[in-house]
Amino acid sequence: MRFVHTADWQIGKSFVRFGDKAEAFRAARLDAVEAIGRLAVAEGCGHVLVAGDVFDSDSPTNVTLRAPIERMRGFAGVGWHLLPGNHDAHRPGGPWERLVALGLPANVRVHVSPEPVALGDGAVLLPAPLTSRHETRDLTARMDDTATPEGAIRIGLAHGAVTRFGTPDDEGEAANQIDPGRAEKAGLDYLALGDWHRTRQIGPRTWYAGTPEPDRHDSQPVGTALVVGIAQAGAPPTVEPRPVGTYRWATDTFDLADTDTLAAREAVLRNAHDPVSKLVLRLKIGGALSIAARRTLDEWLERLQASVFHLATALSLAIRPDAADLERIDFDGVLRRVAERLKARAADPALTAAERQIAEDALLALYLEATA
Amino acid sequence: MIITHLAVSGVGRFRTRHVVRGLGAGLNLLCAPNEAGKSTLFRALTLALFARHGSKTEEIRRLETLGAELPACVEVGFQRGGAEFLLKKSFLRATGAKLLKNGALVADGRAADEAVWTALDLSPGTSAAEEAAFGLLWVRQGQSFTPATPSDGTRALLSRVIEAEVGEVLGGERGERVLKSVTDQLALDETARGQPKVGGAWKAALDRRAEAEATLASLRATLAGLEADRTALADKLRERDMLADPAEIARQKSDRDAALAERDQSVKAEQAAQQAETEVAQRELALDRARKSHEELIGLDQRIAKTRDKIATLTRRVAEQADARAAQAARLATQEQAFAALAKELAAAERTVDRARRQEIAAREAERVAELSTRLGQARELREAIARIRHLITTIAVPADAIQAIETAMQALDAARARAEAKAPRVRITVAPAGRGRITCADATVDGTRDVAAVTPLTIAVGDLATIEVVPAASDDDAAIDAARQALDTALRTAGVASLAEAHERRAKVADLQTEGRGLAAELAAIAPVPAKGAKEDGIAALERALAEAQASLDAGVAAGLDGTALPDRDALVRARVEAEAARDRLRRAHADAQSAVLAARSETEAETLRLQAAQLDLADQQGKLAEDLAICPDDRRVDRLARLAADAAQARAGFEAAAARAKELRAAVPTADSRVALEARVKRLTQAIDGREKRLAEVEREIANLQGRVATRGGEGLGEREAETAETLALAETEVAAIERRLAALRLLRDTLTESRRAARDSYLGPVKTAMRPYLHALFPGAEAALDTGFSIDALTRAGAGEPFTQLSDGTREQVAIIVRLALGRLLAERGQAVPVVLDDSLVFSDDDRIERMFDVLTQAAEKQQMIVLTCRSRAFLNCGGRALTIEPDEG
Repeated sequence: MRFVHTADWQIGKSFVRFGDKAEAFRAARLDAVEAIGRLAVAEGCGHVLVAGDVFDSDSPTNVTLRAPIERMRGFAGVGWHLLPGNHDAHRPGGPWERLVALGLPANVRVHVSPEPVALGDGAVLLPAPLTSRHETRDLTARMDDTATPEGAIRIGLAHGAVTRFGTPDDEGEAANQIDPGRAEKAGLDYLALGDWHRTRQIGPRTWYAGTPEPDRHDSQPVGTALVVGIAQAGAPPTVEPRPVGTYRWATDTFDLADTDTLAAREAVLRNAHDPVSKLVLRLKIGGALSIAARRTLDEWLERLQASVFHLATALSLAIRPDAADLERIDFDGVLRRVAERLKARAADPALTAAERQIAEDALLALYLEATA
Repeated sequence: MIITHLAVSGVGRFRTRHVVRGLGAGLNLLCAPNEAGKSTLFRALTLALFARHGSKTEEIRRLETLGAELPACVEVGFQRGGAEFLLKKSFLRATGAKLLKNGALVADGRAADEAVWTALDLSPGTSAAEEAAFGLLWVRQGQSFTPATPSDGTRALLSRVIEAEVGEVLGGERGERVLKSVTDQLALDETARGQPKVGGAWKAALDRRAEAEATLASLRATLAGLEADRTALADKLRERDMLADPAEIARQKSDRDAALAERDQSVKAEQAAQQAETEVAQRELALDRARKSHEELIGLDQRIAKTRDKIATLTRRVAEQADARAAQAARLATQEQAFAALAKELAAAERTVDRARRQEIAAREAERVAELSTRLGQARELREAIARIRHLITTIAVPADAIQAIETAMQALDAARARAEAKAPRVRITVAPAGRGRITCADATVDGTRDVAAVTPLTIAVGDLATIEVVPAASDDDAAIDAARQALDTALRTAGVASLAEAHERRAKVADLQTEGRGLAAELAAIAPVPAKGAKEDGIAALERALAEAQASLDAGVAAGLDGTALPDRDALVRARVEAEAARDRLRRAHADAQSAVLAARSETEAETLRLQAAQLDLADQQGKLAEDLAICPDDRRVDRLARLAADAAQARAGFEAAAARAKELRAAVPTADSRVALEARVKRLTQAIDGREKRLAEVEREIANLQGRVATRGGEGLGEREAETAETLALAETEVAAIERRLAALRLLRDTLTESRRAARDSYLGPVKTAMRPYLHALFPGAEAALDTGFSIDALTRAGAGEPFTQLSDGTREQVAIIVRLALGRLLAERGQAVPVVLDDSLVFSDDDRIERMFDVLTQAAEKQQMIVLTCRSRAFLNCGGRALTIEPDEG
């Protein structure tokens, strides 16, 4: 028994914050569906199990609803099993009812009830669809008591959290909790999970597939799907992560005291994320620079922005004008005195951080104006 | 620089050579009338120093003397840097230029043009005075009102001079550019008040944020509605499943049918019981009727016997009552006779009493007639005595005014006599002892000494020896005495008396009579008092009336029956009356008793009559009843009928008791009322529950259809996607607003810091100018301060703490301030080795007398530092200006 385990497609996500790049990101999510289909065909997988959050919201447009279905339709030899997640929970009048009403291809099946479903090859799928965004019960618990034919491969399909994943304990009871030992308790051969956007193994038979196309920097660098093989009931599964995404997402965090290291850092980036034209890069830069160095950094960032698919910068750089900066503004006179006053203000501990930041910005503006 | 010489020829109205004489250091004053050529000389001086001699500008052409083909020649002599310069230039024709220094030619032609500028430290190539301090300090006619606005070159010169002291402070051109750029950038996004500006990026970002917020709020509201609909739909679906449960519906219907069957059985049992109970009621009615008929006949039989007994009793009572009534009638007749006799006796007694009373009254009236007659006689006598006294008083009375008239006449007579005596000769006769007895005066013997006034002729006889007659002189006093005497006589006659003494005596008598009269009147009042105050009759009349009334009463008594015989005494009469009244009272009591007895007897007689009649009526009534009862059932048929009715009643009772037993048995089989009510309620509840379920199911189906329609419609709108998209748009807009506001805050800080620094720098920069200007300004406007901008232009004047924009000052003040600024700048230059003469052409035209005097002080003060040349046509106004007096004179040499 071989199948592809995937989750968290979140079709319909807007990506407005990326401006004119948004459409490309939206298109990449649908491309990922096709990539998963191609992967299934290539790996001889008869089924693709989507462990929830197929859609980003529970009220998408019909076009959004149809778009992934139409991609799946093209892979008639693959059975697609869609499970409602917390983003697209199954409720009356919800997306799944609408989807069914719109008409599904024969190779696409929606699992909106926890009834076991035979997948063929002696395997039975035990789905645990979410019927609300925040479910306080562990819906996989019923898998413990769900009987399947003797010798059948039991595959669980669920969406939720097996751990808080670093969420503070004092944030209340986590929703959609799943017992990490569910696979063992329910005698599952494999528990396919969704919700966590990073590919992650929870146990010998429990995996998060990760998202096939990341949408944020704290998920994973590239979209992934899992090719799972189970020889027979009780046999350990083989799980192989495979990249299916279009864009790479990376974050680089560093401090600067000067701009001498920028070239080397750029070379590392280009090596690690070739081609950088598909790189969605976030730079978190701290430290302190002179104004002239800051100008150099700005130019470097500008060039980098032109190279990568998208660049987001979070600068917490302090401006520390040196003597040369001040002399470039003026040797004497009003401008020099203004620069001195702004510099002093930027370093005045009696002021708030915001006020000091504005003084730095003003000093930088003065520098740009005076040296233009 | 000090201009020491100026000569022109072929220039304007100066066809021939003319020289300005008197030029030197300090204040130079050229007073000349209009069209004397002052401005022409000023223009010639300017062009000679700053224009190239070969130039043909319009300004130079204006130098030309009209109608003459002469070169325009100008000579300017000046001192500079300790050297004496002489510049000679010819314009328009035979052009040329020479510059001599200390008498030696140092440049010729174009070189001379430029050598002058070098000598004056002007930039090479300078072709107009405007480019140098001259442009500032040489003020042409009509320009003195405009504020001193140095050209760029002049500012540069001034700046150089000042900055030599205070250094580079303003940031120069870059500072200006930075400030302008920052201000321009801010102006793109915000208004002058710092508000978002329409068309700016800030406003646009704020608008985008507001729009996103509004859209998001709207979407979330719609989503909330969708969420509510979904929740409601889920609830309805669960409700529909519950309502449509077939097992529950079947169980409900089964329960209802069982209840209905039980209710039908109960109704039938009730109906049977009711039917049996109806029969019981009918049987009971028949029994009542039979029993009643039997009892009625028994009652009739008993009533006939009782009536017969009553009739016998009543017959006896009627006979007894008739006898009693007859006896009572006899008693009444007897008592009525006795009563009539007593009435007669009482009438006689009443008459006796009446006569006794009349006699008593008549006796009393006779006594009163006698008493009144006596008093009336006395009163009449008193009235007559009083009348007599009154008559006597009238006869002898002398009025007081008559006595007064007598006394007055006597006084007048005495006065007349006194006056006559006073005027009469006084005669004193002293009789010697020998002549005693022999001397008579007015027929009276004189013994001793006697003084006599000879009022009338006085005869003194000395015995018979002689008769001496003293005759007084004729006088009016005699006539007066006669008149007084006549008046006295008249008064006495009028009073009816012979003398005043008589008159007094008669008044005393009258007083005595009046006293006597009052005594009599008092006695009369006692005897015959006036009846009442205000009465019309007096006391006597009242007595007469009382007497008449008493007499009338007496007469009436007599006429009423008294026989006219003498009446017995009063006591006898009273006793007779009392006895008569006692006899009468006894008869009255007896009469009343008899009357009461008669009335009682009459009542009793009527009562006996009524009782008799009542007994007779009762008897008749009983006899009628008996006849009626016998008519119903005569005596001969009553026994048989009684036996038959008793048998009917017994049979009816047996039927009733049998029916009652059966009805009780059936009623016991009927369910109780409570259980029937409960059963009915159950049937009703189950029926309503089934109906309600069906009705509710239909409603829920409709609601589900509606909700599904709404959810489907809204679900297809992609609300979730749009909400997420709008939330990101809002976040983006907020980020953008924050970035713009941060940028604007930085620009504002930069602008404010720049402005503040420039203001501080400007104060330092303009300090020397203000210092130079202050003595001149205070001479004119004590305590005033002028605000200058960095271009040395004056912005405002502050006097007494109040700032006034320069443009709002009066013409005269503006001109004065403008000249002061120029003088200050000139002084600044002069004190720093860059002295330039100040030339004022026809200035101070709007200054009043006071101000112009103070301006003269200012000019004199300024002239201590630099040369001052003042051209004016106002000779009289400038008489007190002082300084060098310049003249324009033809110069043949």
